[in-house]
Amino acid sequence: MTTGVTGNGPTHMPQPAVQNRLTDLKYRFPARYLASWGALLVLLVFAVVVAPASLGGNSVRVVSALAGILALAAMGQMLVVMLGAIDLSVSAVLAAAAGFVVHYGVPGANLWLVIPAALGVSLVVSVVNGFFICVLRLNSIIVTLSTYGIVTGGMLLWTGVSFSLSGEAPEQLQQVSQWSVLNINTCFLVALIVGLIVAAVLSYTRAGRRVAQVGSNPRAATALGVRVTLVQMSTFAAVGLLYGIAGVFLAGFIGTPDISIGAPYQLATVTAAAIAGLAFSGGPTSVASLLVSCVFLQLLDQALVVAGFSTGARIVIQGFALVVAVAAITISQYGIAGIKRIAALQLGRPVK
Amino acid sequence: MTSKLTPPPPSRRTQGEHVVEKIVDAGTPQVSAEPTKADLAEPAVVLSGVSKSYPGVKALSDVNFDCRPGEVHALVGENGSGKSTLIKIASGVITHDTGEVTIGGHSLAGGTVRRARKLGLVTAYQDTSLVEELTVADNIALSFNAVGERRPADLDRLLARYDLPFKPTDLVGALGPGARQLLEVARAMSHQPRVLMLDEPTAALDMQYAAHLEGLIRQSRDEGVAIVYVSHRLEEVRRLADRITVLRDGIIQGTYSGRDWKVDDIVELMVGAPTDLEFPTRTKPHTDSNRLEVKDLGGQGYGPVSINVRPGEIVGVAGAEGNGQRALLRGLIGEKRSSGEVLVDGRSVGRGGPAAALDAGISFQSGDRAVESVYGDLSVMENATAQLGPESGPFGLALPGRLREAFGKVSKQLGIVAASPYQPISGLSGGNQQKAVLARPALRRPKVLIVDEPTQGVDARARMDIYRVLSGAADEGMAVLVNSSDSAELAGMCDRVYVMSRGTVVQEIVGPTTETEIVRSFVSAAGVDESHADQVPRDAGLVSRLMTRASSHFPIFVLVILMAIVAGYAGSKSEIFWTWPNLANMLILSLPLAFVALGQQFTMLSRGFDLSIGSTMSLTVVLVSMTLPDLSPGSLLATVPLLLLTAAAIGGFNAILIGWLKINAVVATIATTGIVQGIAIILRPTPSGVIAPDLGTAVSLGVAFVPAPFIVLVVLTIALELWLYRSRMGLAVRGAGFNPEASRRIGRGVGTIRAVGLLVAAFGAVVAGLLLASQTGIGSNAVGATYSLPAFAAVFLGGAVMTGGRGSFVGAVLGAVFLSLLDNVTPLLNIPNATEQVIYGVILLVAVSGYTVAQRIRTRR
Repeated sequence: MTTGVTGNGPTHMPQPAVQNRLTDLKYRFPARYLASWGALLVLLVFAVVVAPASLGGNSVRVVSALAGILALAAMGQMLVVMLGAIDLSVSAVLAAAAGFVVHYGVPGANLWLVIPAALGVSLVVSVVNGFFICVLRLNSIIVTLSTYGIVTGGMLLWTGVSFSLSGEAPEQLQQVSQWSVLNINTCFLVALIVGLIVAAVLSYTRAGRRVAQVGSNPRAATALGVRVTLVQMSTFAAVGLLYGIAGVFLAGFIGTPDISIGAPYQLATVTAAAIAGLAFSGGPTSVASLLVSCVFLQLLDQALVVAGFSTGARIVIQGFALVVAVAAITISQYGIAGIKRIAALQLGRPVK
Repeated sequence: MTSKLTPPPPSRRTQGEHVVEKIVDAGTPQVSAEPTKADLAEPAVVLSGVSKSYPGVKALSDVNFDCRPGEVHALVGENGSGKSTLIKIASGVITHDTGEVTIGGHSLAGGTVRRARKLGLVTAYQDTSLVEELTVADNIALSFNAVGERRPADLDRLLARYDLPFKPTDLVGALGPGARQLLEVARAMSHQPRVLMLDEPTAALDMQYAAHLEGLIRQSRDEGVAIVYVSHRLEEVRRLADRITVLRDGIIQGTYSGRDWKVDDIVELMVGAPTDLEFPTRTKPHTDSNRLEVKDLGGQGYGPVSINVRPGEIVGVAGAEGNGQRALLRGLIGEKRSSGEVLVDGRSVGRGGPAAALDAGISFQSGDRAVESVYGDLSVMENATAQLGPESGPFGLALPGRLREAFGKVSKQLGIVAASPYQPISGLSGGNQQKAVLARPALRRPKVLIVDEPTQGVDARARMDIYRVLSGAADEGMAVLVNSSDSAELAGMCDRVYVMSRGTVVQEIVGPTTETEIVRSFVSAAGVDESHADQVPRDAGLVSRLMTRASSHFPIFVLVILMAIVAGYAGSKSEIFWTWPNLANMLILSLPLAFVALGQQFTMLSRGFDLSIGSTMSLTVVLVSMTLPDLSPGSLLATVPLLLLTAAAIGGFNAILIGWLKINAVVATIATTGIVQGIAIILRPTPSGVIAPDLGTAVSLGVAFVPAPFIVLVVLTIALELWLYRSRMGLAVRGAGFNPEASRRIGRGVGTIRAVGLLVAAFGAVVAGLLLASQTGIGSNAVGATYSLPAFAAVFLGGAVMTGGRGSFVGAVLGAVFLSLLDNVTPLLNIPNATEQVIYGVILLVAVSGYTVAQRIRTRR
């Protein structure tokens, strides 16, 4: 019991405390989470130089609102990605929550009942997704593609394209969603608070830490006594809740939403997750990086509009921005040499 | 248990008996005193001065190694000593920085796996290079095809030659690990190589199979094959090897010839210093009460088993490979348990699976780290503290300060070496990973600790630490149960050993014992499973075989039946449905979807995925509206090359993003979607331009109500289907989809197959776009978008899966036609569009659930 400890692996040199802390930081904030920050920085410089109006009060109000809503939805997508899945039903669930609020939030209705009920609807849809993906172990893309069709069609049948006769979101909800402080919209503030909560739960609670564990290696989690299905289903419930919040605020901010209101979010949430450096094979994530990447995406769109780019050019530039950001993440992970190795491997050539 | 032993297979523990006759100085290539036939021959493979570095690590330095025809040259060394790197360099999987590799006199010179195999060097890997989803025959064919040869005609004879206990038609996935390993080696031998490299060929084999394999190796050697043999079982090496070379930290430590080396010396060379192979001294516990009591536990592959472990006791589980040890350990924590009871301190453990077992105080840690023990992406601290309970904070919190404190304590105690607590555990050595795994029970202090293969893939020095940890756990009063395939380890550490055979405990060895005694007890056990029934699939009846075969075409049957139902119902409700114009219309409208689905199916075979097809179709329509106002030769001459170029550009761009930059396929093709869609919008901001009206007319010409392009589609689909299931290239594509790593190892470039897949997907989308253009007549930038999701629905309905290998072109086209049929009948039956969307989703969900269930039944998982 008293033999000196030996071992292989990296030889451990006694390091000064500062250097130790630096090493810790390097591992705690790996380069892949920094791409979104870098992208936002570059964009801010671009905006200041080329399109200063995009940083003006009105513009910031719109950008913060849309970024906040995107962030709420993207946090849902992030939780799905943590479990190693992808959710393509976001747009339908968002539209369902928005539609529910509009349909039942007629003047005189009790919003304290209607809004939780709307959140409940999206929660149920998401839990159904979770059931097929986690319990029946079907591929997430197929499942969410199906629920996308079912929910969209169902909402159309039930409420029609504009959800109600007037098609108006409840007055109070509109007021809250369009309110802002120092030009920062409520939606963004809500996203910040929810983001803090999500990050805290994922990092500082035993239950939250299990999400990354289950996503990283479900079989190990099972063997180690984690109630995997419970963790997965709870995660999907949280996903539905986040989508629901996003949908409700989206309805409030837009005022008169229709069935297609969620459409941009289907791919935008995946894009945001990619720029945030999340691993699509499941595992740990960074909420901060995700929030930053949502701000980046919305500000980019706004700056390009202000700078006078046409719709087509904007879409092309956004596509390239995604490629550059994600390529930067890959390169930061593997280095240039790593990329060459992968390339060689892909071509069946021996690896250098 | 204490009876006289026959001369044992010598082991590390009995090494003193051997007389050393000749040891060559470490580091000098030896010259044998009596030259044998093998010594005189030119070496079949030579590595001279080979070096290889990875960032921060020198994997091999200036290695000289050769192997002559007709000799077995063993290569031994610890994990991470560079053995695998050496093998991979010689096999062409990786290239060396300096030095030269020659095979049969020809330089490998940065060549590929394919070149190495063509020169006659074939490698059998420890974790095999077989595709589980294919049959034995297909796997043999894959390997021969990869080097451009036809597979041997008579496979039955081939299998009989190596005395393999399975049929060519058996699925490899249905074979046991031992049978697979035999197949891997036999397949390598059947290439009649000049050089055969065997990487730990006996790791998954029990003694009987190992003996069979040794026979095969001797046979090959006598036929003049040069055999490089990597193993950590030194006694096996002694029986087989003509020479033995020791590798440590990428440097050759010495080469011994003959069989008369001392195990001690070899181990010393491997480890670098005289190692203390002593196990911690155990003090026998004195309690009679049982901490863990197991009564008549039974389940799949084991039982009924009744065992017990007292507090402070280390009890071993031994047995030949695959006699139920693994299953028993997992049954103890409630996985696949069907009967019996587990008690901890007299209290029964509930039936809630591993979670309930953990609550009752049973901690299970597996040595199969990557698969079921370690969270690779998470930090070493997170892994070590994963099971920490209330100590990490009140109210279910996990406070970082407390975690760091706990981790600091335990990592000092166990000697975990990491650059930082936040370093991902996957970056650590096997030994350090295993210590982090054992930190969990050290922190949680369970009542019962169950460890499966505690030292698998762990080097000798870390082993000692792990023995110390387990012994310490017992000293603290835990009941420790250990399963290990290393009987020396059990003999050295355990107070008692249960010997298992055929899923039950056949013997209990109490008190100090030896490796020999343990091994002898399970090889001589009356119930030893000699038939290897678990290694070979049982003969299925005719009905179940037919069912199995049918289930692979299940999606096609389902689609045909669905179409018949929908068509029958629509025909009974609407008079228009069966009219020729309606049918012709339906088939024409199905064309774009069918072609785009064909392309998508093609790329999904090799695990590709292309979301950008919709925007590609839009761009095609826009381009056609600019270059094809009529069908004059001039317009066609401009259009056709332009479209081909477009397909190549989009497919190539996707291939670069996915293949080279390793971007997730969904993300990459979302980016491509944006770029391509944006270009389409720039070119045609609003619908305009004229697309040759004659194009629409040309497309609608045909036989009876069937338009000519549809006939082309059918012919093309059947041709593709035959290609996929009958041709050698089709087999290669499926193999690459099922198991890319296996394909790489046999010399088939997976990257090329994937790139081609993405190009075909883009090409299919362009053809679909052209057909769509014939229908729209005007250049619109948005028409393609509506095809993306239906295209996926079509291929999924046709049986494609995201994990590659599966699916069929017939299925994809049927899926597309079925969706078009729904589009066609819903207005006839006055069904609103929204309802159709719901039906779409429900059918997709139900169908895919059904396919998956059928697939699981088929592979019996």
